[in-house]
Formats: sequence, structure tokens, C-alpha cells
Amino acid sequence: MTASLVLTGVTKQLGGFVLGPLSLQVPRGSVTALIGPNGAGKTTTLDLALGLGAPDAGRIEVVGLAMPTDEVAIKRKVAYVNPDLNYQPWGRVGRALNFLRKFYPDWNDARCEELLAGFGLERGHKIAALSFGARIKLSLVAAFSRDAELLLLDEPTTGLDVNAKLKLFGLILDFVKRGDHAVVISSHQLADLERVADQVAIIDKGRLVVFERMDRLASRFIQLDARLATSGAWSRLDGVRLLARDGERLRLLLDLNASSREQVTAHGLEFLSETRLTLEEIFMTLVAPEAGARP
Amino acid sequence: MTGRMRKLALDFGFAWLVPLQLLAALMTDLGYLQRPELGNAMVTGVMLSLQATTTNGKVALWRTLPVTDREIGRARWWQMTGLPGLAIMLVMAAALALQELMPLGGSRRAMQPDAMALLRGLLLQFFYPVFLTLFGLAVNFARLTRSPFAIASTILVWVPWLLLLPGIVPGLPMETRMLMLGLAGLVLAVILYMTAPNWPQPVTQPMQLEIGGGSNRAVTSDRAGQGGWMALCGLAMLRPVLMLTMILAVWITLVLALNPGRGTILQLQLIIPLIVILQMTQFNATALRALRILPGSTASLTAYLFLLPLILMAAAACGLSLILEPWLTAATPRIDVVVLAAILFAGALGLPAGLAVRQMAMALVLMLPLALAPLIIFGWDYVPPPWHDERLLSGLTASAICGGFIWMYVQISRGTRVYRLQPFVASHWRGRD
Repeated sequence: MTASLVLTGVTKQLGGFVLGPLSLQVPRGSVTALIGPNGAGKTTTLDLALGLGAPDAGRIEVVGLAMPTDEVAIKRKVAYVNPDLNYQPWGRVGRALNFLRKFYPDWNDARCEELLAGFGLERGHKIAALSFGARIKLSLVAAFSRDAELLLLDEPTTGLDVNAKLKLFGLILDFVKRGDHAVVISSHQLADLERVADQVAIIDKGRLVVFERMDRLASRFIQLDARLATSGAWSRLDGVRLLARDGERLRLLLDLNASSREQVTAHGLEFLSETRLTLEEIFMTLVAPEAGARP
Repeated sequence: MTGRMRKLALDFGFAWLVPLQLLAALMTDLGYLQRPELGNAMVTGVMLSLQATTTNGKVALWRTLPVTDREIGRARWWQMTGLPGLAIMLVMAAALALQELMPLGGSRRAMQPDAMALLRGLLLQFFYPVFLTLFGLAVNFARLTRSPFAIASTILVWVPWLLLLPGIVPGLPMETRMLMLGLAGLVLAVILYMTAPNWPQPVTQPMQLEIGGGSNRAVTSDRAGQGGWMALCGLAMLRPVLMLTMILAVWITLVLALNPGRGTILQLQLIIPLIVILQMTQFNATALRALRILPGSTASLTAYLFLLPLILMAAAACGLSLILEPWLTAATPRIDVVVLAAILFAGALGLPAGLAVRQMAMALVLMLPLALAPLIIFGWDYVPPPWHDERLLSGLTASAICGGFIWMYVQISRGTRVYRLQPFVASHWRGRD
């Protein structure tokens, strides 16, 4: 079975910002978390996946179809949520949904009503008077009322209350249970993503820093507190990142895919302790500027 | 005026627009000096009050600054009434000086209006910002209280304009009625100044107008996935059509009541692209991201958002040439190729420009059809051939339509940048992630 989303060497330049080259593969039946600091390129990545803009280079395949050749077919099979989706010109919630329904043969009326009730929206609500969170809910109702194969959720938790957020994660898990469906979700709620995502892509300054399965991430990156035993050339090792230094004592982030503990010891460091990190801590250490110059 | 009040009063949202406003006002004042008639007197007041339309929206921010409510009230008065009034006087003085320095020769020799005509013109011009202030207060009052009286007051503030209709006061000449209206404006301005510290704060919540758009109720009778693009046509054209109809109706009423003529019809025709481009730009800026995720190709979406408005412009312009103009002026019905070409040329470039350029440049684009007006009205006699050639103009317009379509396609397909530039739509932060 083909992957839901395949990006191969995708690049896009927007003014002074360059995204990529970006290559990643989202398998069917999975939830992929796309995380990164503000301005890292998350929205641009999702936009490109749906054809909201063309890449300068690279190839994009969505649900087995090539973008932009199969743009229309892809849009029929992909649902997209973004805080910037503005349905205000449609006036009322019901009108916006009735309008969208006309474009999708797979629209499920009963499910739409169920979602509206679940998110506390009414068809008569004025969109201009909706809160920010309620507008996101409207986008979510529109996305989940269809039988899309891929969900691209860009900051879908922004402005959502706790109940709505829990409902959203429930919907996401139900969605991927269907096996051939997949979700790509970008969010800054890392604790939530850690619970729901199967794999994580960390983007920083347009570059893919890490793309890893969530269960392997915690065992791949560890935080080491170490003492400088000899003046070994530990800094030349790949996958070692200095987080803090106090004289002879160092705090390091070690990527075990790049270097083993033994290699680090052999390069002049004596381990004092080792700490497992949460997704949030891994993210913060990977995207934070490296502390001080290496010896 | 305190220093803080001055800072607020000079807080212009579109400072770059000021030179354009002054230039346009100067041109119309020069027109008034040549022919001190009602039609030439009105535009200056309108041009110099453009800034005032944004004042109420700023008050929510002003209230967070270390200033008193009294200072905010007075600053509102200065921005909406006082400064336009000062500008009206300064521009008229500049126009007088310009006329002295550069008198027009030949048959278009300048006439010297008497002092009374000047006073009349100035007072009438000043009535417009006063009216705008009053209307803004009435709308705010209506939104705050929702009482029938408050809603009626939004209509009542229009009543003074009736003075300009001929025959409204039997035996009173137009000049006297213009003067009366201007003096009423002066009195109202003084009252507004005195009451300004106590004006209620404006309601800044967005106002949603209920205009068409179908039912809210769930539709289950027809099959999903059908009729979407027709619905898009209706949605995209709803506001431009309504705005055009409304403005045309007001204009036709004025033309019937005042002075129907070829020049008035021409002004009306050249306003068409202005309205359609403005409405479409607002629609595109707001809804484009939602439209882009619909299952349609970029080319088809471009066709809907580009060709439909052009067809609307052409239909409106032809309707005016073939129906309205013969009706009002007893002229022979015929399509004016020059005017139609000007409208479509401006529209074909204005629509993609709304997606591509920043707010300031967009304002200039919107001025394009208006800039064509004096060229068509006055310039024709002076412009040498081949610009009279209708075939050449048609060719240029066809090229502009082709180029405009490609430009719009590129803008929509390029994507992300489009959603960040939203001319004439409330500013909205848009990140890059």
C-alpha cells in the first residue's frame, strides 16, 4: 500500500526563508506530528502538500497521486484545517457547511450534525460572532464530515477548550483506526502530541531536524551529565550537542543513532548521570542554540 | 489641543493616501473655480474625509493609551471634522493660488467665482465631513442601544441632503439652498465639538450583514457533491452585485433629481470597476484559503474569480450605455467602446493586483479607472492619434485580459504569499510556520 504523503526533496523559497530540501513519508494508518518553532516552515509544508502553492523543486505525492497533476483528485481525498480558514463570507455556520457539502460526494450529513452538536455549534450561529476557538471547531466539523483519506491539521488545537481538544484527539484516533487513513498534525501542544502521534517530524528554520517514530524518539535522544576526564576530542563526534557547561562539567544531548555511549566515553568524557527526555525536552534541546563554544 | 490629543488626531491609518487625497481635491477645486456648480463642489469634501472613515476603528486601541476619554472624544472630532475642514480651506487656497499662477489659456479661460460662490463651495464641502461624523455617531448609537429611535436616526441624518433637490423649497434658488446646507454644517460642527468629550465609545465588534446566501438549515434533499461551483458563483458575485445595485440606484436618483448628462453617466460607468475590484479583493483576501482547498483546479478557480467579475463589469457598463444613458439623455443607444475598454482594462489588471501588491499599490490600482475619467472627458481633444483608434484600444484591453488572467493564475497557484497580503481587509497576523 502506498504511503499517504510522500515528500521528496521539496524546497520552497519565500522571501528570505527557504524550506527544505524536505523528504519524509507518512505511512497510512498513522498520526504524524509536525513540530517546530514559529516560522520553521510547518504551515508551508502542509500548504504545499495540498497544492496551496507550488514547490520550487522536489516531488509531492498524496494518497498515491502526484501533485500538481492530480490536484483536484487529491483535494477530494484530503481534508485540511487551519486557523486562517475564514468562512466569514458565508455568514452563518449552516450556510458555510451547505456550501462545502456541494463539493464533496463523500459528505456525511448525519456525521456533520453529530459533530456540530459535539462541538457545541449551531447552524444559525453567525461566523463573525464566533470566538476564535469556535471558528476552528467549524473547520474541524467541515473536515471530519467527509470521508477523507488524509487529514492535514495545522494548529487545530489553537483556541480550543480542554473538552474540545479531547474530542479532537478522540476523532483523530477514530480516523486512523480505519487503517488506510492518516493524519499529519502540526501543533505546539507537545504533551498532547506525544500521546496521540505515531511519528514526529521536527522542523527548524526550514530544515527537517528529526523524523522518527515516537516510541523510538525517547530512546534515541538522551541527556548526559558528564565530566571532562581527559582533553579528548568528544566535540568531533556526530550527534553530540552541548547543552550547558560549568567548568569541567558538561550537559550534553546525545543522539544514539549517530554515536554510542561507548564512543563518547572513549573520547574523554566520564558519565555522571543519564536522563530520558520528554518530547518537549527533546524539541527544546534540538531547536535551542547550542550552549557556548566547544573546547 | 493638548499634545496627547494632537498625537491622537494625527494618528492617520493611511498616511500615504494623504498626498493623493490632496491632489484629487485640488483638481476638483480647480474644476469648481472654473464652474462653481453643485456637482463640482461635492467631491473635495468626500476626498478629504477618507481618513475619517477609519477613526472609530482606532478608538479601541486609543482607550488603552494613557489619555482621557475627553481627549479621545476631541481627537475623534478633530480627525473626523476639524482636520478635513482645515484641509478643505487650505486646498481651496492652493487652488486659487494655482489658478492665479497658471491661468488656462484659449477657450478654457478660467472664470473668477465671486466671494459668495467661494464661501458657498467651502461650506458645502465642509458639510460632508460633518455629515460623516453624524452618521458614524448615529450608527454607533443604533448598535449600542438597538432602539427603534436610534435606528431611525441613521436615516434621519440623511434628511439635510434633501435641501439640494430642486423644488424641495419652492422659490428658493440652488445657491441659497447650498448655502443653507453649508451653514447648517457649520452649526452642527460646533455642537459636535462641544459634545465630543461625551461621545459614547464606538462599537468595534465586526458587523455582519444578512445579505442573501441561502438557508442555514441542513440540506439533505439533494445529493452531496453537486452544484458547488454554481454556489461559488453566487457567493463571489453577491457583494459586488449588491454594492453595484445600491450605488447605481443612489446615483440614478441623484441624476434624475439633479442634472443628467453624459459626464455623469461616464463617472458612473468608471465607478463600476472600482466597486467590483474592491469587493472582489476583499472577498478573495478573506475566503481564498477556504476556496483553495476545494476540489477544483487552480485554473478553474482563477476563471471563476477573474472572468466572473469582468463579465459583471462589462454587463453593467453595457447596461448603462444601452439602457440608462438613452433613457436619461435621449441619446442613441450604443456601446461606447472607449469606456468599455477602459473599464475592462482597469478590471483585468486590478483583480490580480489585489492578490499581488501591497495596500498602497492596491490603492493606486483602484485609482486607475478614476484616472481614466479625466483622460476620457478632457484629454480626448488634446491626445493625438493613434489613441483614438477603437481597434487599438480593444487590442490593448484584450491583451490586458489575457495578461491579467495569467497574472491571477500565477498568484493563486503560488499560494502562500497570497494569503498574507490582504488589501482593505482588517490586518491579521499570518505566520510562516
